Formats: sequence, structure tokens, C-alpha cells
Amino acid sequence: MIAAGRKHHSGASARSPRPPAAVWAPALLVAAAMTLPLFYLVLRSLENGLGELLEVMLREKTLGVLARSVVLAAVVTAASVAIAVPLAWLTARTDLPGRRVWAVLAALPLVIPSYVGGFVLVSMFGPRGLLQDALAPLGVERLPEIYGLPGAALALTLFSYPYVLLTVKGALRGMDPALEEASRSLGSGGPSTFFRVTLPQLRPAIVAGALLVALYSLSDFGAVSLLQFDSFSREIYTQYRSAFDRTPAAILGLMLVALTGAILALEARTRGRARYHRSSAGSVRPRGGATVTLGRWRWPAFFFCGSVVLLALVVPVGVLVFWLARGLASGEPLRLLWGAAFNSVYVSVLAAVVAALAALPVAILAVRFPGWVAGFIERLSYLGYALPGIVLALSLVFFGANYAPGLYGTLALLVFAYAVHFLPQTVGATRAALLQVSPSMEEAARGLGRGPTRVIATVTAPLASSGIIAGSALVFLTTMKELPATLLLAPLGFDTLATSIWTATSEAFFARAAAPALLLVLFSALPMYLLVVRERAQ
Amino acid sequence: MIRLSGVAKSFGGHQAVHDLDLELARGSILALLGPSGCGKTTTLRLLAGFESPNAGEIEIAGRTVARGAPRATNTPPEKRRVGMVFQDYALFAHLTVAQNVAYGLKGISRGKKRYARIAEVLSLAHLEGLEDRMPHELSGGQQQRVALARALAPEPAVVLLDEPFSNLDAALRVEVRSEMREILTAARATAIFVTHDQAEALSFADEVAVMFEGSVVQVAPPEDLYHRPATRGVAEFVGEANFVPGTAEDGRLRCALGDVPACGECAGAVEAMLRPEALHLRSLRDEQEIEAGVGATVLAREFYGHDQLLKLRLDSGPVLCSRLGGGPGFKPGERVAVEVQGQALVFPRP
Repeated sequence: MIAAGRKHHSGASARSPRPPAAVWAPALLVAAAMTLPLFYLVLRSLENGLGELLEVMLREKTLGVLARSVVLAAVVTAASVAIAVPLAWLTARTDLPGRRVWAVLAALPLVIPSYVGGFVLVSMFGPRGLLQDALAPLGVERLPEIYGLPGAALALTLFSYPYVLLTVKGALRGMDPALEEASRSLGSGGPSTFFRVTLPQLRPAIVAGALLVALYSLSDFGAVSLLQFDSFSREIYTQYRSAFDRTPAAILGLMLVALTGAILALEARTRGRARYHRSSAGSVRPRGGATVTLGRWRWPAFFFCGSVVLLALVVPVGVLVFWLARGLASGEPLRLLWGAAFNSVYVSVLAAVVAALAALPVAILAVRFPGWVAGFIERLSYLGYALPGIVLALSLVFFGANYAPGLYGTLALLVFAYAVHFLPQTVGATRAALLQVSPSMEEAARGLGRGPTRVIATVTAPLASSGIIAGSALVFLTTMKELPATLLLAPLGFDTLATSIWTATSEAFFARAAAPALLLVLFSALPMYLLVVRERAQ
Repeated sequence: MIRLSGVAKSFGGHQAVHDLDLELARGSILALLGPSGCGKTTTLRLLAGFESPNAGEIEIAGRTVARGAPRATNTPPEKRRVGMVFQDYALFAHLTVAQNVAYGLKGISRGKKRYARIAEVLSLAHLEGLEDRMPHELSGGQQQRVALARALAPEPAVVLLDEPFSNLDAALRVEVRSEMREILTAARATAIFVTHDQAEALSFADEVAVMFEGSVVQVAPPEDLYHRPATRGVAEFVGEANFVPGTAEDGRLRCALGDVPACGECAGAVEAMLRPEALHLRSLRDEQEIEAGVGATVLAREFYGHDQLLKLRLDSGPVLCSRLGGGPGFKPGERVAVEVQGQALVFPRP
């Protein structure tokens, strides 16, 4: 059957618009699962009535938490942009000495989980920390306070500015060099061209990166907790741990979700009328524009890159290695580490498989059977991004305790939490892979006598397998690093690398935290390395 | 006046341009014509200041803007007074049409004069009413005109256009071409444009410079270029050409087409060029009918509407092309008599 107006490769298919039950039934199930945590969070917040909801929200303490969270997100975002935009430009467009090396090194801090970063800062600058020890013989009794806003903002900025760096660098690379040349030939010099043409062109990339950083700093649990800054994440955890009545924790969680939503809405509104894309002309010139000669600014620029990389990469890794060496020297047992590593890998593999399987029906529905239902279900699958890990975990704790006591404290609930949290990664990757598969291949299989479900199993899924595998690899690695959900939902006595680092650091056993932290950094470096290799290959 | 003398530029080991000499009078339009990779875009970028020459000198409006070693100088693009129209237009996506056009008006301070100039240029480029549109809200032809208006606004000494029509589809191209020509003439602009399309060069430019392998082979007005190409290579690249061997003497050529009037600097054994429209055909029903010309058989016919191209085999062997009007044609297999009208151009035999 051939329908009019079919677009080739767009995925809009000419087949009957009704997807087979094998697709829509699991997709609906996934959608329902995605809404469960948010639904239950709202329910739990309203448990003691609207009166208490408002009372808790308007408490002076709550407003303080809200203010602190907003300030933290603002400071970290502003600082990240201030560091990342010059870094991106220097490493992409100038004759900075050692440019290629800086380009790789400056992106690497992304592999350091925030709680490892927090651990490094505390163990370096905190009381009983390395700097204190080193300075003690000189009679220095106290160091400036690392706890609170300065420490939290520093940790989050150092390990999340690469989000802005990577998006801005991508935009600089993709920019049409003719734009800057046009500006030059219209009489604008180098600096004037940068501010009038280059920077406005980069705006969408800067905003996209800043959005990631802002959401990251709002949802982060590890760094703010270790550095004792009472933003939403930490306050929710404290409330959950200490208070008898857990409704306030749920209300705080709901507020954090609302704040996340507000930031997303704000970002959507700031998009202007301009549309930015590279024109598709067959230009033969090299992409990315001319190299700018820094002249006497070469060495200040070199110093700037060096300081950022030193603080965000060399110091953290150096501190980890130092503590590891010290721990080994004093006979710290590694046995615990292997158990935790095994648990981490085990649970991450489970999460990756579940997330991949759950993503398949959603992605097939979105790509092959587009429509408002499919669009709605796909959007629901992205809810995991909007729910910070601590809020998601909290909601599932409530749910498990009240409605599914059999599930509470089991590995199944933990894996469910991971799958909900990281489903957007597999849905995104699978969707992209499916778009590459021409619908005519599926039509050919139908023509050869296979039913729709068989076609998915024998043609669609195998063709999209590389994307599906890439998506689940991403879920595997992010699950390895996940802390708050693991902390709240892991079965009793089930230690992972992340929780071992957390426990050791909270109790100031720095040497014990070093080995799992280094192992995690190595694990996280893997996808980063693949990213760099792929970039080179292009 | 634009002058390039002895200009050379190489990238790595590759010589993109060498021994390049070119001159252009004020107010005229020059086409840089050549196959891809002949160095024409590099020449344009050298003029604009995006590349600096290794040798030679570039002069724009009486000012030396670039000189190769020794005593190398290079005026930056923003100080050269050149307006550039890019292949993909390079309109600033974050600015409106009016803001794009105003971008280069730095010398003119805000106020009446500035607005007057913007309005003047917009009306010159037939863009009235589109001032507040964003570039992506325009059609291809409109974007093209905004790019030209933006380049013209600061009254540059020369406008450079890089393959200006290659991004438009064929149907639109002819229309936009004549529009652009009108705008440039109305603005009394000096312009240089790069193209690999000989029809575009012949119809658009006052002068055409043909470039092969990094240097200029011939500069001439379009008619001269077509009728008196300097080399066999130019003859082949510009329009269609028949080549027949022969011997030339005292303005006559003896060849497979008989005794033909000839022009050209050489004598003796030569290669003669005849444009397809110089070969006239007559139907031959009876072999005895040949009074003038030589006998041939039609091999194939391509019909274009306004004209048609016929492939023939002369009885003596060579295969040639003839262009006729769009009237009734000859069928493949038909016998014809071929007669030369006009002159053959002779080149030394390679």
C-alpha cells in the first residue's frame, strides 16, 4: 500500500496508522511507570492537606533553602560560562601554545563525579585535610572555611563547566567562517567582529550549556552534601533522615521539581526569533574560521588554561592518588573495594538492560507511528531528566513503604529507579538509530510475508542495535556514578563504589574513599575517551 | 581601478595562484572564469584580504593593499573597502534585513544620513518592506539581494562575488542574474565575480578573465573571448568548438571542409577551430547535387527548442557538430552538404 506524501527516511510510514499491540502495550506500560514517581510525590505532598503544603512552603527555613538553591545555581552557571566560553574560543580558534592538548584536558573534568570532587575539596582544604596538615608546622591553625556556598559553588563549577565548553566548542566548529569574513570585509576589526557576530552566533550554544549546568547544580546531591550547603538536595535528605514526619521532605522535593520546570520554561522563552544553522552550501573552505594570533596575550591565555586544568583535573587526580598511596601504605584493605565494584557493575548492567528494553517500544512508537499519542508518551519518557535523583528516590521510598512493602529494600526497586532516571538516554539513542533505518526495509520484510511484530524483531531491532547498545552503555556508566537513589534505595548491606565513597568521606576516612573514587573516574573516562576518538576521526 | 601584478599564493606545497596579472577599470564587471581548482576563488580571497600573497602586489583604488616578500605588507580585510558576497550569502542570522545592511555603515553615525543610506540601498536591491524580516524568513533570491545590498551599503571600491548563483536552482538563476546585473549597474559598482559556468560569465560580465591552473590565460570582452579565444584550451572551455587539422596560408585554410577563410597568427600545419553555428547544412537528395561544401551523414540530433545540435560524420572521416535554428531538422542517417560560413580560427598544431 502506498500513501501519498510519504517522506523518505523521515520515518513517517505508509503502513496502517495503528501500531501493533506488541508496541503500544509495552509503551503504555513504560509511560505509566514514568509518571508513577511524580504522581506519588504530588500525592504524598498533599497527604496532610493543602494547608500543610502551603505552611511548609512558606516556612522561613524553606524559603531560605529555595534562595540558597537559586543562588548556587546562578553562581555556578555564571562562573561556568565565564570559564568555558574563553576556554572554548582559545582552544578552538587561536594559536594558544599546546592548543590540542588543552582542548582534551579542559573537557576531562566532566569525568569526575561531583561527590568525588567534593571529597577532594574537603580532604584537601577542609579541617584535618592535606593543606591543613602541611601548614600546621608553620603555625597555621585554621584555614578559611571551605564548607558552605564557596566550596559547593567551586566544586560544582570545576566539574560542570565542560558542559558549556563542549556545546560552545561544537558551535564554534560548526560556524560558517564566511560570517566572520563578511563582518571583516564590512569594516569590523577582530574584537568588534567577535562581539558583534561571533558571540551572538554562539548564544544558543551558551544557553544550552548553561541550562545543563543550572539543572546539574540544582539536582546535585553529592557535592552540596559533602560541602554542607543546605540547598534542596541536602535539605530533602536531612529531612528524610531525621524527621519523623516525612511529608515536608516530599513537599521540598515537589518544589525542586517545580524549580527545574521553571528553569526549563524560562529557557524556552528566551529563544529569540533568529534561527541559527549552517547554510548547506557546498563550500570548499575549511570549517571553523581562521586562526587568531594572540600576540602578547599568548602567555596570559596559556596561564589561564593551565590554572583551570590544574584546579579541575590535576589537583583532584593528584589528591586521589595521594590518599590511595597513603591508604595502601597504612594497610587499608582492598577487599571491600572489590565487593563494591562488583555490586556497582552488577546493578548497572541490570539498569542498562532494563532501560534499553523499555526504550525500544517508546522509540518505535515515536519514530514509526508519529502522532499526538506517540509524542505524549515520548515526552513522558523524558520525565526522568526533570526529576532530580534524590526526589525520585524519595518518592519511590514512600511508594515502596506504603504500597509495595515486598518491593521496598529490594534490588528490583533500585533498578526501577535507575531505569526511570536514565530512560531518556536510551530513548534518545534508540530514536536516533531508528531514524537511520529506512522504513522501506521494513516494508520489504512485510512484503516478504512477515507480520509487524516479527519485522520489529528480525529487521528493525537488529538494524538499530548499534544505537541501542550505545544508549545502554551510557546508562551503564551513569548508573555507576549515581549516588542519591543508590543511597536511599539500595538493599541493606548492598555497597556500591558510589556509596563506599560517600560513607568513607562522611566519616573522614579519606584514604578509604580514594580507591573506589579512582576506579569510578577511570570508568567515567571511558565514554569521554570514545567521544574524543570519534571527534578526531571526523 | 583594481590591479594584481605577479601575484602568487601557495598552500603547503600546492601553488594555487602564480604569475597572476589582472587589471580592471572603475565601474566595470569582470568574471573570473575557470574550472574548479584553477585558483579563481583564491584570487578573490587574496583581493578581499582573507589570504596574503607570497609574491606580487595587489592594488585597490590606487592603494597598495598587499605585497609579497620582500617588503611584505597586508592590509586587513576591514580596511580594504571591499564588499564581499559569499556563495552561501553569510547573512547574520541574529540580525534583521535592515540590521544586516546597516552592519557596515560604521563611519556614518546614527541619524538621518544612516537611515537614508539604508533606505537607498534597500530600494536599490528591491527589498522595500522586508526590512524587519529575519534572514531565514526570506527566499533564496531575496537572501541573495540582501547579501548584495549589505556589501554595497558602505560604497566599497570593489564588490567581490563568489559563485553568486550556484545556490539557486536553474529556473531562478537566470532571473536573479539579470536582477543582480541591474542592481550593480545602478549602483555604478566595480565588481569581480567568480564562476565556473561559461554562459554565466559571457552574459553577466563586461570582461572575462579565463584562469587555468593558477594563472590568467586570456582577458577579453565576452564577444572577443568567444570568437577569438587565445588558445585551444580557452576555445574548448568557452562554448562548443570543432577542431580540424589543416594547412593555413595567406588567410586561407585547406582542410576536410574544403578551402575556408581563416584568421590567426600561424601558417603551415595548423589546428583550426570552427564554432558549430559556422557549419551550415543542406539536405542532399542526389549525390550529384553538391555545388558547395562537402558531403556528410547525420549521426545524432539533440533538440533544444530554440536551437538544435547535430552530430555529423564527414565523408572524409572527422566527426563534427553543427548548431542550427529550431526549425525542421535532419534525421539520423540523412545525407547533408556542409558549408562553412565565416572564418576558421587557426592554432599551431600541438
